[in-house]
This record gives sequence, structure tokens and C-alpha cells, in this order.
Amino acid sequence: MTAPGTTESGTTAPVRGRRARREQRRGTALFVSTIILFVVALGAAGAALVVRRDTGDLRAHAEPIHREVRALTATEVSAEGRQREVRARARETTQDLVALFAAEQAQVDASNHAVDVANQAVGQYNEAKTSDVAAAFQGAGDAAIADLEAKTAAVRAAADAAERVVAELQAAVGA
Amino acid sequence: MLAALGVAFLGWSVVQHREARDDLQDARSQLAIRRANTSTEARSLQRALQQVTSVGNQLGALPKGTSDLADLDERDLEAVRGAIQAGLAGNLTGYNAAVDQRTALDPQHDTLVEQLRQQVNAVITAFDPLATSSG
Repeated sequence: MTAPGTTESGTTAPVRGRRARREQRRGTALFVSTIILFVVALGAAGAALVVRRDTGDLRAHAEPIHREVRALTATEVSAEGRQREVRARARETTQDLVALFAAEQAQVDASNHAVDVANQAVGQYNEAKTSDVAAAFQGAGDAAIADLEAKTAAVRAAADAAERVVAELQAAVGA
Repeated sequence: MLAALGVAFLGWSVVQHREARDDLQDARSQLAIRRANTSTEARSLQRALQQVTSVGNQLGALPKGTSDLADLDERDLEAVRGAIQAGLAGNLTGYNAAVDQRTALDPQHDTLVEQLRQQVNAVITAFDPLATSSG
């Protein structure tokens, strides 16, 4: 036999009601928490999507700028290289032209020397220091002519070098 | 769990956004620097080209002038060699003829050398800033 207001398991009716209300409150709190977290998740996802769209816009703005930077870098490198080439060719042209004039001066000197040698031989003949013209020229002209030949060849080589470097300079300027 | 994923996704997106913003700023500053540098390089190249083209006529005439000078020097060599060979052969007439031939080359030689000297001086003067400046 059970006491009045007491269940067979020994729990009273008001206790059962409190537990039921507590469980109901817990259930409600869980539901609300779930909803709140769901809303937070949705909000975060929505905000993330907005941020990602903005990120995409930023990247879309940056890409043409990167392209322009790459193009300008290539142009800069090209201009720098071409300028270096023009300057180098100009320096070579100056050096080769100076060398040409030095070679020319040496050739003129060698030519005048050879003529002097020949004139001295003729002078010796005229002053009757030697019996004939050929003897007067013996040995006198060989060294002078050899030197003149070398100096004349040097002028030709310097002229060819100057011609080549001028052509290279013109190509560098016109490139 | 879903909320944590959402917040993590948001955080990751914000980091990427920040990186994209920094990248854009870097790109803009690089562009400004490159534009300035390219402009400087282009101006410098332009100046170098102008210095060369300012003596374009003299440069164009140089190859023929130098070649003619070498030709004249070879004719001079032949005349001098002829004179000495004539002397060695005891041929005074030939010697005198060769000497006259060489003497006849002198005015042509002097004119050519003077013309070439003017052209070369103009070229060297124009190229002096190119040769002395760095780069």
C-alpha cells in the first residue's frame, strides 16, 4: 500500500512535475542554443561569403596591376640592355677611330722615313759617294719598306675595325 | 560544430582578404616605382640614341672615308716601293716618276685626312658623354 500522493516507485507528483519542467526548460535552452548557433553559423558563413567576394574583387584589381608591373619590368630591362649596348658600341667606335688616326700617323711617318731613306741614297749618288744608284739603295730601303708595309697594313686593319664597329653601332641604334 | 566551422571559414576568409589587400597595396607601390624607373631608363636611352643620331651623317660617311684612306695609304706604299725598287734597279727616271706619283697623292691624302678628322672629332665629341657616364 502506497501513501497518498505517492507513486508506486516512491516519487511524489510535484517532484515529477518539477523534473518535467526542468527537462522542458533544458530542452528549450538546448533548442534556443541550437538556433543561436545555427544563426551564428549562417551569419559567419554569410559574412565569409561577403568577405570572399570582396577578396575576389581585390584580386581582380591586383591582377592587371601585376601584369603592368611585369610588362614595365620587361621594358625597363630591355631599355637598360639597349642603352648599355649603345654606350658600349659608342665607346668602341671612339677607341677604334682614335686607333685609326694613330695608325695613320704611324703610316705617314713610316712613308716619310722611307722617302727620306731613298732621298739619302739619291743624294749619295749625286754627291758621287757611290758608283751607281743601285749601290746607293742597297740595304737602305728594305727595312724602311718593311716598316711601311706593316704600318700600311695596320691602317687597313684599323679602317676595317672602325667600319665594323660603326656598323654595329648603327645596328644597335636602329634595333 | 556547424557554428565553429562557420567561424573558422569566416576567419580563413578574413585572412585571405587581408593578404589580397596587402598584395594589392604592394602591387600599386611596385607599379609606381616601375613607372618611375621605366621613365628614367627610357629617357636615358632616348638621350643616348639622340647623341648617336646627332652625328648620323658623319657616322654614315666614316666607313667610306676610312676605306678610302687605307686605299690611299696602299697607293702611297706602292709609290714608295716603286721608287726604291727603281733606285735599286739603277733607274733614276723610274725613281723620279715614282716620287712624283707619291707627291701627287699628297693633296688628295691631306684633304681626305682633314675631312675624316672633322668627322671623327664630331663623333668623338658627341660620344664623350656616352663614354664617360656610367651604365
